[in-house]
Amino acid sequence: MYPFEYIEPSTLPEAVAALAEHGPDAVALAGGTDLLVMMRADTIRPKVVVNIKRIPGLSGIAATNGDVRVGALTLVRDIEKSPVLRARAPALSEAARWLGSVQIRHLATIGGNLCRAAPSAEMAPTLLALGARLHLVGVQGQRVVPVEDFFLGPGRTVLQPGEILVEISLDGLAPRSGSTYLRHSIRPLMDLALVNVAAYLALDAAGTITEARIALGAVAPTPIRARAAEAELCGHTADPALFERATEAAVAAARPISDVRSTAVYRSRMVRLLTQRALAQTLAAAQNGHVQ
Amino acid sequence: MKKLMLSLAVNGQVYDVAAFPHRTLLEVLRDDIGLTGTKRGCDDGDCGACTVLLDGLPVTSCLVLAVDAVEKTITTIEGLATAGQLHPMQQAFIEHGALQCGFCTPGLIVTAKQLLEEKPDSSDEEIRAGLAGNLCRCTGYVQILAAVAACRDGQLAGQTEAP
Amino acid sequence: MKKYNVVGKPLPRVDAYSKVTGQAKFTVDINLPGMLHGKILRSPHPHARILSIDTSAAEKLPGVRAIITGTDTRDMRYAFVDTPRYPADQYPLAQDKVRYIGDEVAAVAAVDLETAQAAIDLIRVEYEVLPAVFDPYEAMAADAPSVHESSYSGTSIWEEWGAKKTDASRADERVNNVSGRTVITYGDTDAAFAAAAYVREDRFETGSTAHCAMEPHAAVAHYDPSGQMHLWLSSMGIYYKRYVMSKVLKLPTSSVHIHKTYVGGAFGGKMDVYPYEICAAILAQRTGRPVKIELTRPEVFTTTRIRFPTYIDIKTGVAADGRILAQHIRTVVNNGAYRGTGPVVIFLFHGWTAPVYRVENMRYEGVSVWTNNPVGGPQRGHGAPQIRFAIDSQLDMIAEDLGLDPAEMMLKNVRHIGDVLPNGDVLKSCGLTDCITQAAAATDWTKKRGRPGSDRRARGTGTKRRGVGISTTTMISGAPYYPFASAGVVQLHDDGRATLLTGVVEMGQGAETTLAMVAAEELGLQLSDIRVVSGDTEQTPVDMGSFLSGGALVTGDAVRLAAADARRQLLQVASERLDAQVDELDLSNGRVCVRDRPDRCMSIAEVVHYSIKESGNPIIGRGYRKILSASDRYPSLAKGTGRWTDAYGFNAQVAEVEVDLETGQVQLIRATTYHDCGQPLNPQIVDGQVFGSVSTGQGQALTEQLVFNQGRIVNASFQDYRVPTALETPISDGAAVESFEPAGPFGAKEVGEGTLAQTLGAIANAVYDAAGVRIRSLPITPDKVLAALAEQAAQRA
Repeated sequence: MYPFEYIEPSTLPEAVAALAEHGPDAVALAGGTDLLVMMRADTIRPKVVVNIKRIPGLSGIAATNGDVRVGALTLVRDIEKSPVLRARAPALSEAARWLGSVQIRHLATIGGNLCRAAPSAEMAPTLLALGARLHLVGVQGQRVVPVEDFFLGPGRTVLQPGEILVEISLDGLAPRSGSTYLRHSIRPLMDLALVNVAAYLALDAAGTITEARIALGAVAPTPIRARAAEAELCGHTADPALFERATEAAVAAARPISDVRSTAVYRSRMVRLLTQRALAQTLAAAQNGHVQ
Repeated sequence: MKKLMLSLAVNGQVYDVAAFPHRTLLEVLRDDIGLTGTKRGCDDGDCGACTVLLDGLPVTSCLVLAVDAVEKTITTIEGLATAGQLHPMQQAFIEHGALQCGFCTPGLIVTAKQLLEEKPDSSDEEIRAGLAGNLCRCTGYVQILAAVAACRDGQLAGQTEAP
Repeated sequence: MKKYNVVGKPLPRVDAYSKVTGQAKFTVDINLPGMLHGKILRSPHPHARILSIDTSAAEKLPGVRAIITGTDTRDMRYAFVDTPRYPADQYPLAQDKVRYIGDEVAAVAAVDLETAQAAIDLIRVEYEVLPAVFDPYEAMAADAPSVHESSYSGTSIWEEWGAKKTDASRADERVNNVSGRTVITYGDTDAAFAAAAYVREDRFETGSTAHCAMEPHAAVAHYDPSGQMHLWLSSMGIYYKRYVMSKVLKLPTSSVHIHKTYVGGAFGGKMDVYPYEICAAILAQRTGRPVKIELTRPEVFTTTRIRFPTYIDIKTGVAADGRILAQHIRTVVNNGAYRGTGPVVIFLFHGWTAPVYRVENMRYEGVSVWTNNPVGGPQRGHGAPQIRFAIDSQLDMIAEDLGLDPAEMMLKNVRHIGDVLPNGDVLKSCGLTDCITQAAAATDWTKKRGRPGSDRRARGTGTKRRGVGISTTTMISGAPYYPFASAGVVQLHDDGRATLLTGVVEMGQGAETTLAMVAAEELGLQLSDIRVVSGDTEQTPVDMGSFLSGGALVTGDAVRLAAADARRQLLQVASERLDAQVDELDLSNGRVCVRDRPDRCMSIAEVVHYSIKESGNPIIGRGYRKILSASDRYPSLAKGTGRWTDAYGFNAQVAEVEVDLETGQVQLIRATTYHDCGQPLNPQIVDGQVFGSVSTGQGQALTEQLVFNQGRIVNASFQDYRVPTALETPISDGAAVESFEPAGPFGAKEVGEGTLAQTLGAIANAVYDAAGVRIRSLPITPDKVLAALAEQAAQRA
């Protein structure tokens, strides 16, 4: 690893100032599980590393009324084990389980996983499906961005120089709703997802789908929403033909490539399979009133 | 670049080390403190050979800057045996032939020890999943899984003395 | 089976305590006072001419102590294969050309790694990029770029050991880029094919795989003022490495001292001498300070060795009852940029064929071809995984075509004790039949597999299907190569214990333990009575190395003979003191007694005491064993003639898999391996060898493949090169069949290298049994399975 200047701010304003001052020469260090790998491979060579982990208040999971707030520096391992999330957003805990090894999950943070903006990011599809909002703090102050607007491309986000992701909030989860996260990889664990899919369905008392969100990962430059698939579902009662139409739409939304990990054809087939399964599982969860 | 003075609490002893900020905990443990039991297998967090306990939790020390380990407690493989008595997990690995070349062994033992401390009644499947981040090319894991299960079940034959 | 006191017991390893406590010193753990750190500058191009190298800026960097380039290694041509026919083709640092991405161009020693890297970044190399070739068939075209234009002249190292230089073999090497060629024929294949009831031709393809020893390759070198070169290396055989290092460095062999370290896994990948090792030594000479070079994981993946990607065409003619009458096998190997062991592996493909099934009419042709890819070399099984996968896949297909059970068909063709192979090797032990029948019995084979000809696909329902497959393989127990022999020394102590000196390298295979058990058995001691000193060229005697699977048979026998020599001396002394004939004495449990006279006994400690007091003889036994006990010549790589081993290990495996028809994913559920290793020296260690090789075979069958793009390995990390994790561990069972190899110590022979190769064919055949799709190229990835299932569905429609 090439040497760098190290800054360890103890407050958020100090961190923002340090990152803003050094602009593209600086990186924020959270869990480090991707950042240090990239620095060692010399794919990035920052002059300044700003360690934001000593700033108090950036981690933790809290539930108030219907909302859940997750600090950006919350360890992925804590997301996995959180009783609050297991009850309120089980798909998010489920997603956490698949991120790297237990050793990695004790270092990696949910915010870091998002800011890294990998197309296959383990935490992203579920947050897209749950309609999460991201709270960013920068020199201009605070702003809130829907997670689906956060990603610009592989490794690129809307974060401005000096801006830090501080919190992820999940709100407006309907009482009769469910969510599912499914992913597929060659090795069952310790492997990046070839495709990951998350789904969220909310039902009214009659069983009509009132809200639907389907998110796909690793099949486009960023994690994406399959909006045409969602449109197929909204306002209808679930049945196999409906889900099949939605699945087709999700497959059409995916733009997979062939790379070292898999082929476009195979990824496309997995989008179909995982979407089918995710819709069925999500419907069952919603019918059981999975999220209160 | 300037070296930083770091105080690191390793296996109950405090080491004061001057290190550049880009040095990882793994490098400082091995090169500056001289605790070479923790191994560098890939330097990418993929193999688990460098696993240490940081505040009691297993982490890949190749992905931790040494400066980030200040004010935390660090446990390495060298800290497991107490007063010449092997930790039961070490004993289990010996009895079950759960090691061959021995290079992944320290990371595996550290990971497995914490796994059973966190959940003493871990199922076989939980043990497999919990050890998935520790690659071993020699053993095919069969005897490792048997060793960890024996440790969980308290089925150890004895206490191996230092040769 | 004979009962032994120590041999055959599952005793804990002698190196276990130091390994579970983190005390064991591996090569990467060696740090010497004043040590410098080295880095290698490598080629970014697959094929390019070096026009100039400018090191001036790097030399001015504070902390840089030495920089070397090709001009510093101009007289250092070397290679593992260095024969009159195949002269060495590699230099520690590139001369006029680089031939693959990663080829070594320059080396730096500096006060720390950061400075060394900074210096590497400052070296300016001007390249003229040349057209490159990556496919072996394309490389053989007359107009393809030539990877090696120059013919290498001079004396090869094998000529020092009696190999003869002839002109005869040159004629068939005129094909562009051909680095090796083997043609082996016996019988009358034309007539046999004509007489065959059924003939089938198939092509198979195997990808390239990586060893993945967990310890990265490393070297520490220190040249002391007296002219001694001290080395700590990643090695599988210190005497071989000492020999090559001394030749390259122009030092007397005995001036190169390789010190003991534990080696963190090898699997073939640490056999060859690598440029980084020679560079460390040269840099140590230049600076007068210790120099350490530790490869990064991507460097290990790219610049050590890889498993040869191979194309295999097999034509087989059989009688109606399934007896194989004739085979014509053609192999084409992508050798990469340097020979590595290319000419060896094309010889070995036949070598792993002849001992398994008796085929009286054979035409085998193998070609290795230079390309601008990374270099191929030995990897656990060295050719066996590729050829056994192909042969047993085809056997499974033939059996189905003929309505036979493949296990039954194997039993009709396997070799037996007493068989003489075409090269003259004699099978004095051969448990193949037992391996197959016991593996079949243990897995309920007949029931699971169903009657031959029944539509197996009709059996399963749902989206997950199970199936079983079987495959067999073999492995040598040592073959002639420098230093051609192993020796052992056993010194008794006046406390009644003993020290074993052996030149073996402990790299995980358990040699320290099994060899100590051999010594203990011979001396009537317990394992805990034996201290082992191993793997040091100044402190331990010559050893053949652990890369030809001769550890148990050859080194084991040398140790047994050493212990027997000590025992003989011990009894001689005791006979004087106890006033009895030597043949009246028994030695057991640390005591020498006159037979049936428990009142006339001495402990070993007392005998040694007495011996030292009386004559001064401290009782030191020595023993040695030639690798091949009787042979008049070296085996011919080109023609396959000449004996090359004293004994073969065998095994058979039944694999059970589950195929997910929706994802194409294959899960290995159970691998049942029955193997013939003669008398197992330590069953716990033998089990570990089998479990480990099955796991690697599982990975290489299903998930492991190096992916290349224009000569660049694009998945040189454990993230994307997928070795099995603990989660995928199958049920791994089976046992050693009853066997006794007369040439080995206490009946022991090879185990652990061979047991990988059958896993690939067994899994491939099980996938077919489960899903009805035949995957002819390894690895069997989900996308291949899904594509084959789609094709199958299209054909049925």
